[in-house]
Amino acid sequence: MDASRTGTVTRTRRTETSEMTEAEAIRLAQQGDAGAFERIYRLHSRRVYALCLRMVGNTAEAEDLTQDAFLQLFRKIGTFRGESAFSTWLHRLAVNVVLMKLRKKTLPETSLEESTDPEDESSGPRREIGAPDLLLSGSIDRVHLERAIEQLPPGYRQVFVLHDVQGYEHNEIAGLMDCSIGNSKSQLHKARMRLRELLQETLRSLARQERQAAKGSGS
Amino acid sequence: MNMQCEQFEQILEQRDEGALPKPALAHLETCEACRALSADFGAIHDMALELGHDEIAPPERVWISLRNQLEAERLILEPQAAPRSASRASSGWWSVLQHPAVAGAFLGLVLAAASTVGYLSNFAQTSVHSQLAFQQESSPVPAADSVFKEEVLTVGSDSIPGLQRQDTAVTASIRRNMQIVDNFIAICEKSVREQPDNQMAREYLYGAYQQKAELLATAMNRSMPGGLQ
Repeated sequence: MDASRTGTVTRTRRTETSEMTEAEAIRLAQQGDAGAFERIYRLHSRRVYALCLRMVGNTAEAEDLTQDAFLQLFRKIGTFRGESAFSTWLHRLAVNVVLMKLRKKTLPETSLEESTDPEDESSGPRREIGAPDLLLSGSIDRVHLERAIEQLPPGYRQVFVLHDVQGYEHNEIAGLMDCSIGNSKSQLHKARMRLRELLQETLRSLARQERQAAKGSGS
Repeated sequence: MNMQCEQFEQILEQRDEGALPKPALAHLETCEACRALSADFGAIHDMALELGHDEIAPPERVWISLRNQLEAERLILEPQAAPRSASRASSGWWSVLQHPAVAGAFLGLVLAAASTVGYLSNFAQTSVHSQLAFQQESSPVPAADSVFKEEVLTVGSDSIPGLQRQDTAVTASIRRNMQIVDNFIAICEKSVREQPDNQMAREYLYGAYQQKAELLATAMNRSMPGGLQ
């Protein structure tokens, strides 16, 4: 076999793999097929990586978590019977991997007990009386929001990403994070309040820059 | 913030998706701050939902590392053990050869076949040189390559008595066997080029070089007067 033929064979195999349906890939992956594993990874890794990245706000950690999530998936793929959508199953598994990892880390400023205590008046952002409210609607874009999410304390960020970004319900989040529904709601509210503050700061900063730029060009 | 605003905020916190209760709506009509808060929450929520549809490709190293882990845990089964569809089975011996055990057995058979040959002849120097040139151009493993060249240089036609003797059938057989070994080397080299971190691929390549050197050494011994034949 010469080199050109080897290349042809490789290309053919890649084409076959990329044409494999998800159902076929799952069936073959359950039998240990390498191409099927890769197909599943290629189909879902972007969503899983995006989820991990938003949850932890760190590319290196997100890469590790993505790998962990797929490793867990492939270890358990033999048990998948198709009762739920595969993507839902994978997504939930990825969320669990992220949350498990984060639980192992020491995060005193975001421990669930501390940041969700309804009696703790000092926790979470509060609205100031008389503080000027800048309307965010129509002023924020996704880049500003992404940056603001990254600045959230991890505990707030997890609930916000799960609820507002990924669309989980509070009862699901409570199950995933092993907390009460009330805690989930409280965390989300505080996350939104903090995001609002951060975005308003961004808008004020942008407005200042514009004024300075206008001054500079006028003088 | 008066009491009504605090109550409104609590309602905002505790409610699920859906319309606000009437008292909260009534408060909104009279309170600009809470109206702004509610609108901002809505804007944040809507923008966040858009983020949820984003897809971000992880670096390729994630898959490479994952695949290595899957192989290490033997979650990826041997190609012959994993049932394939009819179309995929057509990749044939090439894919089977990529597994170390099968490849090793295959090369062993090649060597055994070579050892049954009565005598070997007609190893043209040009053939050896062409192999050397090929290795020189494409070998990604210089250390193994140099060892291989040393071995091969010892079996040049100048140093092998009787090498010029002609035996068409045996020569053809030897050439075929050598071609198979060379193909395997080419496959291994390709794998190493594509996955430089794949230690297993490197080991196969070293093994393939060694097999070829041994094959050539055997050929040389059998071609000598009084050799094993």
